[in-house]
Amino acid sequence: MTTISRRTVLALLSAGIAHTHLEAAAAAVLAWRQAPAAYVPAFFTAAEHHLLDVLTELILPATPRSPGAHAAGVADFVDLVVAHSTPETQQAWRRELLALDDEARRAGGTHFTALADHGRRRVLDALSAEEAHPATDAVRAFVRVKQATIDGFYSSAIGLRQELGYLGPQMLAEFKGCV
Amino acid sequence: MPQQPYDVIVVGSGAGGATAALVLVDAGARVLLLEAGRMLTPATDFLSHEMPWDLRFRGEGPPGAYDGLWKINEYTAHLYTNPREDTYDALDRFHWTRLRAVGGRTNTWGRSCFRHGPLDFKPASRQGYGDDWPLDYDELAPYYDKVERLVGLAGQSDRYPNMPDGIYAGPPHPWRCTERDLKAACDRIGVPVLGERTAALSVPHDGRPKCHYCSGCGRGCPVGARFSTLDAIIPKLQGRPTFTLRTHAVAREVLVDDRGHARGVSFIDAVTRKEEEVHGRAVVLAASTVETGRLLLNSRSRQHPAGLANSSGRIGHHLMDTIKSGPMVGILPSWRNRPRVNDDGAGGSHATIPRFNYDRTNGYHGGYFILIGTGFGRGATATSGIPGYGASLKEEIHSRYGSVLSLRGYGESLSRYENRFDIDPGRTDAFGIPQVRFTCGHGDNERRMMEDMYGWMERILRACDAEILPYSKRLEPLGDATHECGTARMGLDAKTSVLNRWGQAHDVPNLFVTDASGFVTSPGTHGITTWIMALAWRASEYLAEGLRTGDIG
Repeated sequence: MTTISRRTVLALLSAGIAHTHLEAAAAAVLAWRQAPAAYVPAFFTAAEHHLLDVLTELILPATPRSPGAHAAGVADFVDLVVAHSTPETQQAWRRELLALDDEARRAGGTHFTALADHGRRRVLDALSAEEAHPATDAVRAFVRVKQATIDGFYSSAIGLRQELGYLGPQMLAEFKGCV
Repeated sequence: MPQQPYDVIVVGSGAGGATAALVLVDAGARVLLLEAGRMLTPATDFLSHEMPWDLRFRGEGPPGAYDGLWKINEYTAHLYTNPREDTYDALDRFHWTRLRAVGGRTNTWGRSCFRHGPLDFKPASRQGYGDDWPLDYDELAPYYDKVERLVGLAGQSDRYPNMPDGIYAGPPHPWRCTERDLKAACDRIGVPVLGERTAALSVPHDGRPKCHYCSGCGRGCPVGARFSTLDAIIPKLQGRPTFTLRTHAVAREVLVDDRGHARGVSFIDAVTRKEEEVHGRAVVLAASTVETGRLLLNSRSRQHPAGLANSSGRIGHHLMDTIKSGPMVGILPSWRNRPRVNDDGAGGSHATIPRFNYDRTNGYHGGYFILIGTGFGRGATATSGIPGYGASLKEEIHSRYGSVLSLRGYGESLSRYENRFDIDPGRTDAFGIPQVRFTCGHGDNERRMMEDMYGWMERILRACDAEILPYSKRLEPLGDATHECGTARMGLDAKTSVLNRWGQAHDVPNLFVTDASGFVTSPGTHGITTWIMALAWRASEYLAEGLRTGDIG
């Protein structure tokens, strides 16, 4: 990804580059950056990927401080990781997500993603109640997605910078310690 | 006899090898330095400033690639030899961490520089266990001085028992608020907390800049603010007519003459795969503890049928490493939801808990440090065990971030004959060189020390009013601390040791070893790099004098 840093801009300004030229250049860069290709899942089917996206956003949702897992692209990252996992791990993901969706159909009569918000929560509340001692694939799905969501979200810029407020790394002339 | 182009062939460009090369070249010797890996370019090889999202797998690498391999991850994997690819028996018992490149593991080391004290050299006569070193602290102290002047330490005098103060280029890095809180809590229970003595510069030194506090030191430093031989020694040697650096030179065997003395080294060029020979009046091995032992065991000849300099049969035996406990993690209620500050600092904690068990009655020999993990880091901390999902989960993780204190014990392991490596008859490496296999494990003393570590870690966390997260007591496999040592040990008796007090092989007068192979004991502090360098400096001065007078070579 190409960005024009503040330092570069200042350097360009001090080098006498005309302000209008800079604006044009910055706009061009911005336009170029604003056209990311839609993520194509490498392992999950479109339906599975959608389910994963919905689940991750429920687990770490947008809150006043920061956007949630959907905006952070967590499902895309999980897909990448699972696509590089062993066949056993891949099968476990697929089987457990299916079990979770079966649970939704049993409790709510339709696919998890087709449930209204309160229906989705009813399913997740029931699975979460068992998370310390998972005995079914549906509960295991919850535990697996939850861990992957935490891993994916807090290793994203939204999760680490915006939500947690990590301030580094900066090039400091001095480290003052506790002040 | 034709004039040889080199006086000394040095194998390995890390702490022990580069130090030897510098001292020898300064003394007028013509030195060829063989390095198995490549030259590194700090600006592009060290991903110190990259964030997780800059890397495809967020720094973790593809699933399973580096799990459980401390120091090897997506930021550093291009530097290290992955034991899952270059295999050996048995990874579960010994973590062998190899970094084949100019500078070796000084590129990514932990940077702690505690001197080893008078008691550490004389465990048998002064503490009642193990074997004494064939030299004492006072003999090595002047060399610690020389090494520290080169390395450039941030630190201060502490006057702490058996941990002699060093020469500090600049002041210690100041403590974070959490480190001050920890000190106050430890004061209440009589546990000392000292400032780290670290090779991350707090002032410009020797043409290198001071630390810029990005905290990425473990991935290498792009500006050389932490000491490495790549940044601080190799540039002093390059361009000098008596120094030659040969990279991609994978040593296979030390060659001997009719008398059984070293006459050179055969190596494989990692690029052309061709075997070459180089000759010198003396050979210095500093390929890292296991590689040096492997090279000696693979150097079998009529005069040295059990491997070069191995009439004692001790090469590969007495394998030690700093023992390393699992972590104990506490959440400090008073630190929850702290206002965010840049806590990065000079990489790792600026405080440490030194060996404080000297005058206590212990059920074990030796001692240990407790290392500290604290601050707002580059990842969420302590995210496990939180029930539920949604905004409450997000809030709890936000609250815990930066409120975690993580402790780990690093201690002395005892030298035992049965902890060893030898040549595996059934396995060679990618160059066809016979590989080693490990037969080792922790002993009763290490397990008793571990119990003591966990007891004190818990007392410290309780003194901090921490909520202690579930843990299980364990020691990491040997090798995990990357302080492996002892497998060509020094000693006065040629029947039970490989090297004399100068790092010179008892059996081969023109063969020296200047890495941690020569250690008689493992450290009860953390960090062995400046110990290696001080011994290497002393050995190299001795060798240079021998070459000058003709007593050696």
